[in-house]
Amino acid sequence: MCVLSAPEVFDQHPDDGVVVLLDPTPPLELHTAVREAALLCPATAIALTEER
Amino acid sequence: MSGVLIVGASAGGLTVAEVLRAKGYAGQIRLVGQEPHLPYDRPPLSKEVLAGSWPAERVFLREPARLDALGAEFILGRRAERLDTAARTVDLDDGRTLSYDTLVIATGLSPRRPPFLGDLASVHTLGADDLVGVPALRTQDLVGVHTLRAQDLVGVHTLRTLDDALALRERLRGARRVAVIGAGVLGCEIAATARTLGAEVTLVDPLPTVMVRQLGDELGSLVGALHESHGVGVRTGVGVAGLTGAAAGDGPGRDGPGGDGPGGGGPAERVGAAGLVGAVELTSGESVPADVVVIAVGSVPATGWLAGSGLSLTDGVECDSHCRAAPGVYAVGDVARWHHELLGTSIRLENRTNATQQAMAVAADIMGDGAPYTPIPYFWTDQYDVKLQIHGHIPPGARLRPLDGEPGSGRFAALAEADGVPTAAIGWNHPRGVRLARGHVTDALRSMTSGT
Repeated sequence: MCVLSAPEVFDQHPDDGVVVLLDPTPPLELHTAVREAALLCPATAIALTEER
Repeated sequence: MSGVLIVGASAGGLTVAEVLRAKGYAGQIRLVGQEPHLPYDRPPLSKEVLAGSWPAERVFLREPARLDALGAEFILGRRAERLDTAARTVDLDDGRTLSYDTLVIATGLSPRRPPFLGDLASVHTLGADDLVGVPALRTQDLVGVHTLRAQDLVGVHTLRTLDDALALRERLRGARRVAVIGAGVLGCEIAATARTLGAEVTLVDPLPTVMVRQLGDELGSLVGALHESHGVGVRTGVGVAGLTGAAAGDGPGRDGPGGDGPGGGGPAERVGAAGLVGAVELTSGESVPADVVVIAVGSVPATGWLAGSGLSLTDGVECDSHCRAAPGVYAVGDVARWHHELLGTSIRLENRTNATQQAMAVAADIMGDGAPYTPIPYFWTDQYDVKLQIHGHIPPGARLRPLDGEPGSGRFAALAEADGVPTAAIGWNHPRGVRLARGHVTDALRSMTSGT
């Protein structure tokens, strides 16, 4: 689900499908998509650290 | 300002609260939860929790500190009993009345109760003839036996809540024979878990194919074959007539005389063998011996408390395309039936991903930037070493079109097609393949709705 929500930030390994983090500090315009990805992750495996 | 009142403190309700705050909502948010627990995740209940590979605490969706930071009030262990849409109030079972500006109904599902559970256990195997040496004792003289109903039998379980899962986990320890009634997603997952734990498992369903409602005939047959390859007795196409109790001295762990052999028969078992479930009676006349019976015959939307509210409650809370049921009233998750504008029909989805996605849509609508909610349904199931992922909908007669790997092998991606149109993307141990295949489904849906 995270790759669908934010393909610029997440990808899947071609063999096992495990998520690959492409961008650990995504730009502002992707923040909404990344927050959605974290909410939708079936394994609740995405941890966000937000700085103001 | 009475703020937002969310009835239901599971994934859907929690997400509404979180997204409201993320969008800058500063008003009051209250969540009412029937269970005593903080919000937790249900999919692991039939898998990791039941198997014992996860401690129970791991299912909680958020750390307490993160919930504190939400600035929402959690009213737990309380049930909503009545909604008044004119006064905009909800009555709780402790006598309190809560008012709201916006209400979100997120009460989810209750396990469906099969008709055979309500009947007297008509065939009770404990009879006078079984009691050697006590020829004068008749069945009706045994205290409790004549009033014993199938639902009272020890060892009969359903699974919806965390507490249900923990109780069943205890029961499965040392269980020798497990019968699972209902071969939907939940029943299949429980059967796989029980089998992996080492029990002899029988899976019973009156429909001809395992998971046919979710997977159609062709893919459902593959899941049935998967269970058979693991040694599960798959009994499809046959109904359940009733449950019977164990005969005297019967029950789990009756490996030797006295019925208190290893592997079962803890103190709780000594309530008397008469109270233990012994078998599932099939409509074919066969009897499936079982010391644990799990009933997983589907669920019904938990809308009983909304009776008399004026809301339309035919198979869930009926909503418009924005998930609005009435002015100031929304529904999310398993309980919500809404008009899906792309599909042109009203649907209700019982899956985890929808609870979150729909909650995001509802929170946006509450904040005034909503849009029609038009998701591609998605669900997954884990059984044995297989992760099965489905985007879209698989009608009963759909054909599988392989994209990568062969259906029936250990790994493949495929499309389900109805009349040549892709309706679902399927990944069988193929997470990347299913994501790529999803594009075919969205394209077909778009061309269908815009083309004609």
